[in-house]
Amino acid sequence: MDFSFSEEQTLLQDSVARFIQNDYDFAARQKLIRGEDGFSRANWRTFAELGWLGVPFPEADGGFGGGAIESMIMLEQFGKGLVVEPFLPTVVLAGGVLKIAGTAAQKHQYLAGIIDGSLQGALAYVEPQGRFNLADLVTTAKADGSGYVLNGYKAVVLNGPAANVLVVSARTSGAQRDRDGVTLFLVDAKAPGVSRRDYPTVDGLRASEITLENVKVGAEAVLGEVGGGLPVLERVIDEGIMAVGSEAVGAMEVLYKATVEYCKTREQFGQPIGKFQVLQHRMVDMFMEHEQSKSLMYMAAMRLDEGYGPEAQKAVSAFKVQVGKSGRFVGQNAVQLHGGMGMTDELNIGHYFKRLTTIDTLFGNVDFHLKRFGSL
Amino acid sequence: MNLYLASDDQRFLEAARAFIETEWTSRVRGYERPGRPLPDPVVLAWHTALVARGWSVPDWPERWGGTGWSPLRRHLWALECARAGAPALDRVTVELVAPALWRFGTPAQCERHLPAIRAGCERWCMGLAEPQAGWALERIATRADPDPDGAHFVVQGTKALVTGAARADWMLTLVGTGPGTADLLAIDLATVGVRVKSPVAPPGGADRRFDSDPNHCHVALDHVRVPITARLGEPGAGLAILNALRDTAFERQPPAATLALPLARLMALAADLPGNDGQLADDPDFRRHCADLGVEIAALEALELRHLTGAPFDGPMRDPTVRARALRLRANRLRERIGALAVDAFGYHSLPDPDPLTVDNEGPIGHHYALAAVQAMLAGGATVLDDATGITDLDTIAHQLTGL
Repeated sequence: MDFSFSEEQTLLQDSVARFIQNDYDFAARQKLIRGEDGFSRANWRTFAELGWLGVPFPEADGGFGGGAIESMIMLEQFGKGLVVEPFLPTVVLAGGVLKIAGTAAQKHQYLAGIIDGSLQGALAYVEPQGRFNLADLVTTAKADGSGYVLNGYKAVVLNGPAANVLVVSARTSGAQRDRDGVTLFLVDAKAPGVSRRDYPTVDGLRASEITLENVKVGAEAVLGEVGGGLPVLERVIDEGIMAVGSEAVGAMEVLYKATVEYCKTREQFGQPIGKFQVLQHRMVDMFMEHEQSKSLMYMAAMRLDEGYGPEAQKAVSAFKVQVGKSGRFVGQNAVQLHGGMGMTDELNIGHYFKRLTTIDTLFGNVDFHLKRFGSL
Repeated sequence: MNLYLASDDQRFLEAARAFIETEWTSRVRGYERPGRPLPDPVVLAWHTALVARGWSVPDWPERWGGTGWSPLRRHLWALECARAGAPALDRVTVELVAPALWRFGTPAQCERHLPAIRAGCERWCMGLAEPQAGWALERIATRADPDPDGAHFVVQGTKALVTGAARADWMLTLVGTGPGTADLLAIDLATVGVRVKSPVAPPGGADRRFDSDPNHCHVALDHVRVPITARLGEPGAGLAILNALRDTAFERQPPAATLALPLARLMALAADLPGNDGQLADDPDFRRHCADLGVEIAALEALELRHLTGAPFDGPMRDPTVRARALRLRANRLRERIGALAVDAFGYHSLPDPDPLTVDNEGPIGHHYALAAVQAMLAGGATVLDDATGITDLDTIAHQLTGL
């Protein structure tokens, strides 16, 4: 039993941490999220040059053979910097599906581009009526000659505006919520019949509502087995939870530390407000929430790397519940302890809170994962 | 990073499990009676086996018979025992009195008592609180005056809320020895003038599995002659010794994973308890509470494993005493919540007074676990040395966190 990093893992952590600290300042980030793309293509090239975009992929596919622990290490640092570059949608989600279910040809065609930074991806799996149920799909894919015709509506597709390729879940058979009959497809973002409404999210990212109208794809567009896409999707979503949860842990660390610093310097009634016992105890609770989240983060990453199954799923859901609750607690208290300052746009506190809030919703909120945890 | 036990730790765990199976589990299988304590001879046989194996006091210094196990192994052992329901030697004796003896006692006092405690032959209680003073220990009325013979104190007074006095052989007793000074005396409860009254008899519905049976006794001391050599530490050091014990009490904690045991039992029990609409086990709110506690326990367990395996920590957590306090703080809060959920589970039948002397002899009213659950919750769970309010722990961590 070992909770410490290997030398390579420590090097990876140091390299990402250095980038965040030296090259990713908050003012520049704020400019980026108001810009054309919503992120920096130059940063993305840097990520590729540093090899980060290949970290979670097997060496045979041109990656670095990292697992959940390596992804966790990177994303925790990304969370500290509120990184807006689309690592989650491109590498973890679209790349994750390709990694698990892609054929050699599909990997050759797409993974290489993801790893060298030339290709942006997105996972179009959410539908308005489905809430957090991944199997609840009304988007259909009907066999058409050797290929398929897709029709439907996909909501809140992260990185939709920049994605070159979409991974779309659609129903090839079965009723609306059946586990069987879900198929995953690779769809060119510019294919005829694909239309988008693009928008920013509250935490400064970009997303799209995507309509699919008689979109034709070939048989080679099917990822994994026809009708057997749900287990793939579930696993990739769990890896997505690992990723955003790690970001949340990084964000909480920034928030509790910033709050402690603020309370040590802000004076009221002739002394630093950090001397007041009620505030001290509140800060200890914030700190503890972060430590508990971090502990479950390690647990979930190690379980995922042991192999995907009920143990890993349970650990991931526990982690997501903790991050949802802790994120809200740490975020709200950071804003409150900073007083009015916490809500201003100049101070980064509110932006971390926004990110923590969206992370709670992504891939199923506290309620959803409490239920899943209880049933596993 | 990995969750696998090293092969020697794995072998240790297997040996521990085999020992517990042979010496405890196989012997208690015939005694499965919910809501009833196990017969004393079974517990005694287990303790005898522990002593013979040299495992009766794993956490003690090796000098006094501790096992010298790593923190992880001590944790594995405690967890396996808890899962099997195998009771350790009396907690007050082994975890409070014994450390007081080796830290503050004379070599003669240590030699006299520690081997006997380790052998399971000697049981202690602590006489601190009093009927008038409560836990305000600076206001105690019990006095120890020098006997004219120069070799004894004469002790006069009454101690209240003494856990386990009815079964103890000795009492570490706080007595006033002068204006504003107090001392701790080791009093043999067989001495003439000592009278133990248990206002709450061992309850009929008591169940060790809910950690009930606070067994709070009164001990009356009427002109009890105690040798001067029975004083612990320097004259007048009584309160300082207690403070020192309290400041290190966070070091001894049952594994966080043991919190999952009463929760699991409660969830199993809920299949037989009524909900508002069918069984309690199917009640969405009850299930949500259970899942929520399950996640909290998992988080605490993960934090504890990081602590036990010597993982690197940042900030205030670099200090192991901060980690131990943080673990205790969270564990105490979770224990309270689990206790409250247990009481909740029994609905109206959480109302009968848990004191069995107030009802007839027909056995517990309502569910046989209900009384124990209510009793455990009302007892507040922790002793004064456990910082049940968490304020000391919060203050200490805050100090490390803010530097203020």
